[in-house]
Amino acid sequence: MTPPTASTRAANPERLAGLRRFCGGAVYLPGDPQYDDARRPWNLRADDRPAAVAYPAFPDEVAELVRGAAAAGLRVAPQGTGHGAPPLSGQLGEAVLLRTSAMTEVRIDAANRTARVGAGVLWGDVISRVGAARLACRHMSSPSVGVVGSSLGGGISWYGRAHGLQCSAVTAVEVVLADGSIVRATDEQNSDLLWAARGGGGGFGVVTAMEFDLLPITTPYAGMLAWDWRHSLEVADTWSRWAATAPDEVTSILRLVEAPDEPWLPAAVRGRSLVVIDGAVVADPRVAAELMAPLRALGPDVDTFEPRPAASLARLHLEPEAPMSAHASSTLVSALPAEGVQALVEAAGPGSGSRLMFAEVRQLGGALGRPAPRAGALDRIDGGFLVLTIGTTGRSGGWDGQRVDADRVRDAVQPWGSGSLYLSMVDDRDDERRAVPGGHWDRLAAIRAAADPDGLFVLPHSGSR
Amino acid sequence: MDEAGGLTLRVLGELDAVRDGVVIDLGGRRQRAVLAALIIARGDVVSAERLAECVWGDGAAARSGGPLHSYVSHLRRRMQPDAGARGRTDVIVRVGPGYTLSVGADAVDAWRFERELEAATDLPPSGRVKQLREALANWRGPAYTEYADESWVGPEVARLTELRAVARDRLMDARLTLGESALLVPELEAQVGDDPLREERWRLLILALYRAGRQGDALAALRRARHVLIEELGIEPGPALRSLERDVLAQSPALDGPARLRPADEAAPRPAPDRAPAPNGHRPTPSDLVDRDREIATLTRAVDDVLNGSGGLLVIEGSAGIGKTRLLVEAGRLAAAAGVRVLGARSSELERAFGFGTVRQLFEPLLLDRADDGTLLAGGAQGARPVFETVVDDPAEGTFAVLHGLYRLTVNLTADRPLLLSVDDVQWSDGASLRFLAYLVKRLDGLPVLVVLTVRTGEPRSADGLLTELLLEPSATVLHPQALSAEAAAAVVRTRLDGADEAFVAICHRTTSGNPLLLRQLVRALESEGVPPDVVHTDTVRAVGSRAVASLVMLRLRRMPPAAVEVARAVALVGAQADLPAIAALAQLPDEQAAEALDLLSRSEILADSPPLRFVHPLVQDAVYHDVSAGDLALRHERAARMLAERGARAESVAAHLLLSPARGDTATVQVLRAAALLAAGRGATDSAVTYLRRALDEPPAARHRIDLLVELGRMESMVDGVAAVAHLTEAYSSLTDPAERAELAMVIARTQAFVGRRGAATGFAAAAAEAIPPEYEDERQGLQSLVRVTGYMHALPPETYRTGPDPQLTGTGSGARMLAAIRAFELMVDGTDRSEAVDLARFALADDRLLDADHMLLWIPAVDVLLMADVDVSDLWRHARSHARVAGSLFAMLSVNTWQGFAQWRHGRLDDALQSMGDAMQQMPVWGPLSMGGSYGAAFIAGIHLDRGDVDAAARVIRDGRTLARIGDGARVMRLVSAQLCLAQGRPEAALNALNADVGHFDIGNPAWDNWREPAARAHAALGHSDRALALADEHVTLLRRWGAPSSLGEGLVLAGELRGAAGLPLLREAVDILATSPSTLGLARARLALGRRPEVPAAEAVPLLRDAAGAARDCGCPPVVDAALAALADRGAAPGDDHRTGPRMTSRERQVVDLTAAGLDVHQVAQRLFLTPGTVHDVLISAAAKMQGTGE
Repeated sequence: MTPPTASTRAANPERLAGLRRFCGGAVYLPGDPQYDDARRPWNLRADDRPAAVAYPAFPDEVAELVRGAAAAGLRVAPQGTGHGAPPLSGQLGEAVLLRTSAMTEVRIDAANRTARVGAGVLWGDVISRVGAARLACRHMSSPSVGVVGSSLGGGISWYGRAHGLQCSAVTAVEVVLADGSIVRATDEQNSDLLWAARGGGGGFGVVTAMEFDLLPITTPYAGMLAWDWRHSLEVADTWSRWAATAPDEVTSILRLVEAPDEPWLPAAVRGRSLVVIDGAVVADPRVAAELMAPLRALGPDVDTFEPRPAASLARLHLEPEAPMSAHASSTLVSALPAEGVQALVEAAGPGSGSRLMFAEVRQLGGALGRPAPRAGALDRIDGGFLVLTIGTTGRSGGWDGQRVDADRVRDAVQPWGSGSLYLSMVDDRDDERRAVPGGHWDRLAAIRAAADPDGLFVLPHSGSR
Repeated sequence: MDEAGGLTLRVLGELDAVRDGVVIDLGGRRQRAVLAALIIARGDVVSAERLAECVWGDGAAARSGGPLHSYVSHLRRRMQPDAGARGRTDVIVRVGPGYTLSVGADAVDAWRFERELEAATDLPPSGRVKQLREALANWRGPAYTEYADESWVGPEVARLTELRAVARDRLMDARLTLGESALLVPELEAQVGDDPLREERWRLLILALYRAGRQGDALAALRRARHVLIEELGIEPGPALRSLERDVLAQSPALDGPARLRPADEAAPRPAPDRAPAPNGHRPTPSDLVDRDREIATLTRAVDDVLNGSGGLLVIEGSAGIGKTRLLVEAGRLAAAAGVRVLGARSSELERAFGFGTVRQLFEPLLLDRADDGTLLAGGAQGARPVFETVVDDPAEGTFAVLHGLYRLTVNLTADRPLLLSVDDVQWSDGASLRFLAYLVKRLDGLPVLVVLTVRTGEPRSADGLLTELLLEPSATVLHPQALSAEAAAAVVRTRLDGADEAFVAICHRTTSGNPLLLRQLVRALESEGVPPDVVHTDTVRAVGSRAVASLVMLRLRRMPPAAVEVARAVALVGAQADLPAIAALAQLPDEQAAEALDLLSRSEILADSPPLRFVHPLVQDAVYHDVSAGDLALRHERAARMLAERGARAESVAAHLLLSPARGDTATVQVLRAAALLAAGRGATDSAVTYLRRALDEPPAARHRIDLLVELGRMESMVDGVAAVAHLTEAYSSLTDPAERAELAMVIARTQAFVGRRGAATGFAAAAAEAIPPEYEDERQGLQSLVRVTGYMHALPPETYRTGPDPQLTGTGSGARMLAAIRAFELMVDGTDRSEAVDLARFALADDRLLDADHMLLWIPAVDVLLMADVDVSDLWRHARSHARVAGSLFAMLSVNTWQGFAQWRHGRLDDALQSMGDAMQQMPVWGPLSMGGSYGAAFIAGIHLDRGDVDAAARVIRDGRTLARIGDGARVMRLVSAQLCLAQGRPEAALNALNADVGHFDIGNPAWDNWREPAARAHAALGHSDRALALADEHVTLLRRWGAPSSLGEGLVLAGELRGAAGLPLLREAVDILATSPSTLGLARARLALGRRPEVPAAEAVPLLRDAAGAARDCGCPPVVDAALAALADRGAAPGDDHRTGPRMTSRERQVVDLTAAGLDVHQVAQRLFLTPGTVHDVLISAAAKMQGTGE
């Protein structure tokens, strides 16, 4: 019997119940008391009711589940924490949500400066262990984000401009393909799969484990500068000029934020409206301090820049860690000249009436903008800056208001847009072709078609087939 | 970051240095010696001269300077390659005329080790264990390995070595404090071996042994320590060991380890528990027992009760993992603290075939402990010996002696203190053990024995009704522990994961549904994976915790080293029967590695940390066991069997694995299984024996062994599964050639068929076998012929099918002749014609006990019945048969004796005694197994006795319950008679006549003494007004009884005929009184006197004494209807009741026996033992006797 194709699939209730025997019983179906707990992603805005939710712990359990789902006429949607749940929304009714949280293996090889992690491992779990080995990793700005998911999507870290995308550091992945076969992909074997895993976002199988290089960084010069946000324009203008010329050792973010009065924020920030620059410099402290001097000259109210253990960068960006409702919108711009800065501050800064949680500009370029030595679906990011807004509930205007304000920010910088997208920070379903460099996309689609000819795996963004 | 920050210097092993995780080449031996000398100086300045001495062995000043300087600069370059030449001087610093080492306190492993060792001192035990383990992890080998012989290094090496030993001792001490005693024993043994002069190690070993419940070994270790110290050092052990010795001998509570401490217990001194400590020194509830207040209260009450001498049965019932075992452990802990002796067992699915496996787990440790004592198995407990012996010469036929012996053993154990018997997972206990427990719990009244059982619900229960019987015991208290509440779950989570977030805790509870086992395993898994208990990781909790327990454990196991997995599998396979070397052999690992793995498994809460080796929960064992494929499993069992056999394990232990090994037609396997079956049979564990033999048959055996095996199996099966027995025995029979063997086997088959075969099968088979036997085997043929006839009668076949041709003549005096004589006597009795011939034949049959040995099942009873029907005194025979049954240990024999002696007592009018005998028989029946034949006799007799006692309702109840019993056959025939009597007593004569017409098969019984149907029929007709029909029947009855001539039956028949005739019947009644006066039937005589005495025609002078005698005798017999009628008749005549009335009821013979023995100074237990009763029964009998004595003034 050939497996059913996407068009002929129809879920069969008995076969659905048959899924229960997989994953040591860690399978939930609609109506189970804990189904609601299990289907809930980190981003609570996504409220989907998958046909089943399963928590496999080993590749063989993933393989069994994948085969079982296909036999039951269901698709499979792999998901880690569910930070990236929104683009999947609406696609899960006939799918098994395969949550990777039980695959918690973490191994650090300090001598070879590599790490191996299971698909359920969060960056926070890795950062501390890597730090203990006196190394650093290209981790995301939030410790509660999953390693594998964010690496599949690219991965911009505090060391990005010096050391490139996290996905370019990936040396091996272990993948369960649509037919249930378990393969290991390296540059030597199944290299297509590894290539697709480097920034291709998935869709070719379930990645159960990933290996990547670590960095010999122990004490980066890192911290945060903050001013009352009435200085937004001056600070943003100075930063954008500084950032455009800063050496690759520097990676930084400018953020316009009306910080909520919440206990998880440090007292210096809590409940205040600020313009913040945070970042890391991988250089000798004296050199780093010299680099920071032009920004310090603006007289920040808060200045925490100093040499600090790499592991302490986990929470540098003060991201909310507990599950919440959020909407991310972002765009890539080639450059941000003074007019651009002004437009941004007008759209999101003081007096803008913005109801967003925050708007920020991430400094790209450097190694992030050059083709990585290791080829991958995403081997660089096309743009000098990433403009990102995050909306959330509990603000005036509701989701509609948030969206209006997010669109306003995006439109304000659109004149400088690079035309490309960084999909990991886009919650609305968009066309993958805008994110993957031309030519790469055809190869990615071909690799997916070979690994998953019947379209078993659900893709967050459109365009692959 | 300074450049030396990444540098570690290592001396605990080969001297080397590590920089950023990479070992640095430090150059040659001499160059490195410079560094060694500087490290030993610990930051002090070492002169160049001194360094030169270290390097070259003497103060060769001439060579100092240049070479030394170059060594130092080489060392600097290698340790700090990145620094410029001028920046390299900050690790080895030049100070005046010498050098010093300038590195952080943690940069040298020896220094770090010392610091960690010191830091451990102030930590609570679990922190200490962690810290000391870390400290010891610094060691890679002997300190300064390559310089150990140098004089300048020697003192430092000695110092470090001593510190390492101290660290090890302290680690052991801390682990012992955490309650890991049993696991530490092997490790401590090894350490004592390494350094037998360290008294601290001996102390720890002895303490560990003691706490592991091995007092004997602890004392032996003390002796070894003393011996070594005196031999080697010439000194006595120091004060620590001496006081330990005193405490061990005194079993001082000071030696008791804490119940395993949890980190939360140690973090801070806990406030006093809410509830005041219970009386009797019960300890407060440990913190890991949350949400169990109600259950603990029940346990505490049960323990208090047993302390007050009142035992009972407590059943803890619930689903897997709900916390039954934990409560069982707590019961044991409470009881032990209160001074109760605690014996425990855990049954397992794998060991279900192990005959008396559970019982042996319970008692064996104690018996081994007292190996040279032997008092426990003395006296009445002797019957239990086969259960505990490794060689059994003479397989017992039944289980009664064993059961009773075990019961006596239990009683003996209560001599000095109360007893708690606990059995975990009793649903998996072997049949023999269940039988014992069922036997025991009915006898707990008045015994200070508390039995606590756990039963897992939702499991298929064993097929026999024993478990149900046990659990439905009306006196049992049943506990149903519930899932943990959210608060309780939070407490459990936070003991391990300190400061766990609310949301995290809530998910733990929801995901596990509050199942304590699952919750604990989840928390353990989260802890070992280092999952932070924060809100971000709630999804990890769900991912791990939503697995079933088994798969959660496998998840953890799969993340452990392969050695741990193999060791876990080995333990799952052989479990409690194995020690470390056995496990290591089975896991195919060196001992040390296996020990490490065991330690890891125990620290991970996969294995329990107290002996014997076992998993924390049967579910965990199941998970590990079933994780390998069926084929692989069979091979592993085969390996286990081979390994156990090589290690000299008992046949049964080996057989348990052979049962699950692949069948290979191996002769050795068959031999082991047969040996195991023999042992099991010897213990009365027939079902186990059958299991082994069936497996042996599947092997299959070599052709030459097959017949023997079939016979062994069939004989065993005949006691538990007659249908299978017949099939196997018949197969053997058809292959046998030796006529004597064939005849013997044919008899076994026929007897078995008599009870389980289809009607007529036994008779047909025995007839064919008798036919086939060669002429020279005359005695065997007689035996078979007797079986033809007795089974024909039992099954109510048409007589012409089994009594064909001329009556057989007896030949010789063999067993066959006795058997044939018995059935011939019985037939003569049934015919009712030739009493003296019948009695002669019966006497011949019973003489010399040949029949008792040859066939107590089928033919001994008929022979006795003949004598009984002929009014021959058979009381000696009962006594004889009883002791024979006891010696043979045959429960079946015992229950037939009770049944038929009850019948005899009933006939003679001793109604109380009869009821007691029948009660014993009925109690033994379910233990033996379903037995419709004996059952219908028993029920009929009991109903009849109740009727005579005037208790119509009780009789009706027994008969109603007896409807499920056999409807055809001799038992049904007796039942039919009693049913008719009941109808009469209820005033339903028509129904009585209908009852008599029920079809019970073919009977042609000419002797009304044996089949007294005419009496109820005549009385029914009389009641319906058919006097002619009634009189005709009564006359025919008397005529036939005169032909048989036994006074008791004839007298009763005359009473019937006399009563029916009214005034004309007086002569008949007078004759009846005269005849009955010569018979053993006291009640019959009383009835005759009553019948005569209440006739108005009889003058008062004659009637009053008759009625007074009748009342007195009937009272002695326990027959109120006759008493009441006699008293009423006396009252009618205006006469006083007579002296007897004031004396009240007389004591039964049992009451008399009990009172006499008590008067002779025996206590309740001794009396019980002597009379084969339970202490509870003795107690009851004494109370009723006391009441009677009060009435009589005795």
